[in-house]
Amino acid sequence: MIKEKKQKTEGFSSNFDPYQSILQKTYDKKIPFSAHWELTYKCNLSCMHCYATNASRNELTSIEIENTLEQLAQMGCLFLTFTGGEVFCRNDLLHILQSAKHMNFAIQLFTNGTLISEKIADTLAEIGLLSIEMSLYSTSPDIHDKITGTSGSHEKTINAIRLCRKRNINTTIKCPLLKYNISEYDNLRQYAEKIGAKFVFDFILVPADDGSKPMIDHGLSEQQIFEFLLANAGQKKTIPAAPNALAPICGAGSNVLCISPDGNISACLAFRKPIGNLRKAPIQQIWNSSSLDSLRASRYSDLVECRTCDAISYCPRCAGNALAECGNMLNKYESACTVANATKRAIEKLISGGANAT
Amino acid sequence: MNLTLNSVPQKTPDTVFRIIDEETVIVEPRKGMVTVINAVGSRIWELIDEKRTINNIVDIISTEYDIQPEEAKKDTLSFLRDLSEKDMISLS
Repeated sequence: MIKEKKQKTEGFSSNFDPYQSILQKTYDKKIPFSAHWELTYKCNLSCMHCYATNASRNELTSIEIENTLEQLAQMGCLFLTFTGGEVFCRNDLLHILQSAKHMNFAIQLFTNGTLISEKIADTLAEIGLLSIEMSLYSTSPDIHDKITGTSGSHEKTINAIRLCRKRNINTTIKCPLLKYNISEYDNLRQYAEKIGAKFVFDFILVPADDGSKPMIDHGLSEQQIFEFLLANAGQKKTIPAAPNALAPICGAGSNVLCISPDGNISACLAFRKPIGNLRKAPIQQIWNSSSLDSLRASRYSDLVECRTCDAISYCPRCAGNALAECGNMLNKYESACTVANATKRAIEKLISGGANAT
Repeated sequence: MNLTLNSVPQKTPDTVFRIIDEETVIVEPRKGMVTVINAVGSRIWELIDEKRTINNIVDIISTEYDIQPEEAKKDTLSFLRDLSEKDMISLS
């Protein structure tokens, strides 16, 4: 009579296979099952690759946030990620987290960790987060602080990671690999393993809100990514399947939404153009408007420049990033092409038995 | 505590959940676990309110789904035992 499906999950992972029926249902019915919420653009660090460059916003009040949480819960949102800026620059953050927990959200927190004290860590442990993700760019203070533009930030982040792990809070160390820290990959991975944290990394940098492109100065070249993958991705020796031509290009705007500090609603964190503001209309009304129709209807077969690309199986493309980088969410864009081509070359070389990077 | 018809189940405070079109997605954040239960399980989950006994829940399920009380009892007990073993509910 009662069937169960159970799965270990990292929260919002695209490898959420046992939940495919639920995810498909939320996609089909346009239920915003997961939401990213940028609570503030204020930040106490000055990371060189940051995209959130528009710091001055009329931020939502605690009461507006609580009202919105109620609306999101009614719409079927379950997974909620709070991010910034730096979320702890809001002095009501813990109250917001407690409200969200009370309303049955599974909460994930993105932070640099530098403002987390023993007392805050105690409260986070009490709340019971799905995970806390902290950006750590290196095990070397010099490299980390150079990237954050803030002397002493490494020590504070390391301390926060320690405080969280000491309380068994699910902790993920995340790190974009840049020109300056690519050699730190092994150290970071080993450090994470030693303290019982997860470790994730990424090659992709996204355009900043002011239109600048940090990837030009700070990102890795195709050759650097290729050599990195040859050295570090030995387990990924299978060629991934090409995406189904009729598959949606992503869940943004279908079962994923994003809220900015001042209440703008967008399809996801990567889509920086708002479709409405929750101070002017209920979220449900904004969500049901026609603004997202073209995104919701987009399929892989619509990717005219990409659908015949022989690296599409390896492509990390993101419609929002494409829009930001080249002005069209369906076109190819350099950051994704760089990673796709490097990954294709590396996997083919690994499969053919060669490991010498050339 | 043993699970009996007079037990009063309550959801573990650590669980969070959402009903999606009659199915319920239950997340245990600390464990990083997600469980999806079907419509009948969702109704039982909904009836767990720290007041109803398992017997009360069995009666409601038997009536609402038009099934024999013995079958409702067997399935409800089995389901709740499973939730209890996974620490998703506690009993008083």
